[in-house]
Amino acid sequence: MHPRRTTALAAILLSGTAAFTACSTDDAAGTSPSSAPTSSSSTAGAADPAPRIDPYVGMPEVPSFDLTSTDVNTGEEMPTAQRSGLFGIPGGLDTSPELSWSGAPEGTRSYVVTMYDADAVTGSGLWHWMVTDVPATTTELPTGAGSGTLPAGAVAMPGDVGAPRYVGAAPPQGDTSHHYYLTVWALDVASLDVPTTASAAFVGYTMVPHVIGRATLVPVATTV
Amino acid sequence: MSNDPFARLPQVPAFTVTSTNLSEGEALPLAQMSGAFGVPGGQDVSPQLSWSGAPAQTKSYAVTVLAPDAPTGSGMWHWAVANIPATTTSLPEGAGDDTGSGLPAGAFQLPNDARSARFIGGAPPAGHGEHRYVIVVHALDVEDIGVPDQATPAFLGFTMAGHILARAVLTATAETPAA
Repeated sequence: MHPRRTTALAAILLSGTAAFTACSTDDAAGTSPSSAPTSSSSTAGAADPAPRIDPYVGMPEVPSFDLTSTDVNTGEEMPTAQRSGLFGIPGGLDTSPELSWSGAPEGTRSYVVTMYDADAVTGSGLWHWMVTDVPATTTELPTGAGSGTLPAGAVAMPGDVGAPRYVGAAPPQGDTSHHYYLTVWALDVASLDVPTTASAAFVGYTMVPHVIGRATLVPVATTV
Repeated sequence: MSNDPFARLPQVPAFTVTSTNLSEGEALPLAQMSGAFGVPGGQDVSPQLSWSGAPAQTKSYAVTVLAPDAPTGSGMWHWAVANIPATTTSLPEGAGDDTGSGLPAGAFQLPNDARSARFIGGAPPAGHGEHRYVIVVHALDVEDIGVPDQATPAFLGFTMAGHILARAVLTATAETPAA
């Protein structure tokens, strides 16, 4: 291993207190294939292309169920509270949105809750939030659960920013709207039994064979 | 249908990367498959890489290997190396072992999606079709990209997005037949 000096970015990862100015990208018209949900009430503007990544390509087809939020909705711009002050969005509070769900398949023994930015310019999107082993009796997470109290037994995973908490939206200024996939995954096991340091992709890989239902909201965020 | 890991990324010039171990569009050799992930005979040995034609103002390189077809929701990062000096134009086979023994001074490996700071080989699930292994050499305009050594490859990608002068891409494949 190579010792590394502490940097501003390290400060974000380790303490989540530093501000960060994201780099802008061009917004050339894209042709990214996608079967993402589309909006019937988009407020993101007409020039809102499909997500860069379709996170469900190659994933098993599973039944959907009902998922709602009092804070966010598919196709609508995220409120400021759900954006990232940690990543330099003025007023952003990194507060996870309220989520309520119903109608999950019989046989559901636990849930995983995730938020994934399908437009982050990384090659693999960006995992903003991941909670595993949410008990099957849970059907709601209140606003702010991602940095507050989770149901007993649930485990906050580090995601792509390395912090086991909700990290809000922070699309680079001038980029096309980013699509944030808030997903509740219904699993046929009570626990995924993954290390608490596991990457989000590893959790995804581990849970895929156990997913029996999936419900998704896709709010968007744009930094003009 | 498959995802394009370069979808709407900033447009940059291309340069050339080749390998003595593998070729564009061809199957990964067994040495570059993953014994750690259960492929019989897989050795998790990083491929030899040589590159040329990067811009003169390149200050450092990063090398990444992404399997965008892995069924995880975000693909699977197999390797990420940061802070490769601009004077480096090749990595020997096996450079990405546990200690990074074949890496030049200053370069370091970030934990991949198995959270091990090394190369892991290909291991597509049986019956999941052909997977792509996208090897990228990123020419950067900074000597030190400034990511912590525990950062995720996605975080490296996010951090370097505004510093990429050019990129060289080599894509190999692997497929495990249905049992």
